[in-house]
Amino acid sequence: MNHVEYILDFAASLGGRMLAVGANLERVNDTMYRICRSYRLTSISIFSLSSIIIISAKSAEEPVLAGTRQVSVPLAAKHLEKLNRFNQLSRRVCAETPPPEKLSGLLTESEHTDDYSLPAIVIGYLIAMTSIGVINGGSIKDIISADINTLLLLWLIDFLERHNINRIVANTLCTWIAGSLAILYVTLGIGEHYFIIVIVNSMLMIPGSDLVNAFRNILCGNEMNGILEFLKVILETMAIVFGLIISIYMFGGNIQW
Amino acid sequence: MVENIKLVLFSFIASCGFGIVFHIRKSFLLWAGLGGALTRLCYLILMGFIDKRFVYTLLAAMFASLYAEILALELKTPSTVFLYPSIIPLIPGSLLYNTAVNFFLHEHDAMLQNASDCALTLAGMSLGFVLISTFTYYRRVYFLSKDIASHFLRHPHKRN
Repeated sequence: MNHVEYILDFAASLGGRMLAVGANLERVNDTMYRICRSYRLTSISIFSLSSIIIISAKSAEEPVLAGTRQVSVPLAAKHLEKLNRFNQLSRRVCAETPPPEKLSGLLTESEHTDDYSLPAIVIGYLIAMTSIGVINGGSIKDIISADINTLLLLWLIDFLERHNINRIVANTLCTWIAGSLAILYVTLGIGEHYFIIVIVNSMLMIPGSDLVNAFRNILCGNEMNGILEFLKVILETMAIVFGLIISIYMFGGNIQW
Repeated sequence: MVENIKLVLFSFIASCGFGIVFHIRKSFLLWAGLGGALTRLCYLILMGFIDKRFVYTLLAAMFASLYAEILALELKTPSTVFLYPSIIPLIPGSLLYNTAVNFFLHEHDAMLQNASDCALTLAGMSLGFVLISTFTYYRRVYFLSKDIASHFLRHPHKRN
């Protein structure tokens, strides 16, 4: 591989990883552009969506050396400490311009972070869901019911993701189970308000920050990405509600929305 | 009053909880929680003075974005690290959910009302973020250019 290919490999891989862990599209484009510029590449062209990045450039000294890279952005959960590390790496690379063949190793190094343990993440979810329950006016019974459902949903979401089940199907299935259990809790007297239990559980899956990012992309000039993201968010939300409606039709009876 | 204090307190706890879920570094968790609490406080104060949903959401989002940008400058991290937990109180998740419920139940008037509230909230939030990030971007460019210019003025022999 020539040095242009090493640099493009690095820029595209870093951009893809940054997008996957929660970076904004315009920041990612800016980072990839700066990396290429710091190595004096010219004719830089970047096309990116939240699912794919295509980047091409050529060497300023030897115009015959040119390259194009295309990477798929993996589906991953937000990891803001990794984003922080990637950001530091991109600044370091722009400032120090290390030899291109060492870039891949630097990227691998920066991926190692001290992650929270699984129990800590589960506790984080429970804290967040309990607070949302209180903010929405839930009673202690509602919050306990929502927390039991949260534990179950976390396991189920993880299981479905590991088996590569489509997000829309997964959302429908998860909320169908959560909704059916909420009806059971209310019927048995474990929970009090069906609406509060299901709305807290829905918050686990409603892609709120993706929705904000979609709108932001539309306003920032990334219309195509924004519209695609917006459509995805709407479909996922519809799937969430659809699952709840199925549970109501199957077991609901006199449950109030 | 007590209700509002409860909302601010639980916004702090919720943002800390989401901070763990989003894998924010332990030393930043309190800042993340504080962002959520202050944004909720700002939102509640503005709601008391302003009728228009778009305007108070816009101002609260500008506050959250400014908070994230200031911390990002101080702690040398991307502003996104503090922005995500800070905007938790503003995200219209329940409005989006209600819109979808109304759609499935053919409650068209309620659906339109919820959808327009949701769209106004999102537009206000997005515009608030864009305004602040544009301002900070140009501020950064301005100071960077100033630094480079003063460097060359002090060391003219180093100019290529």
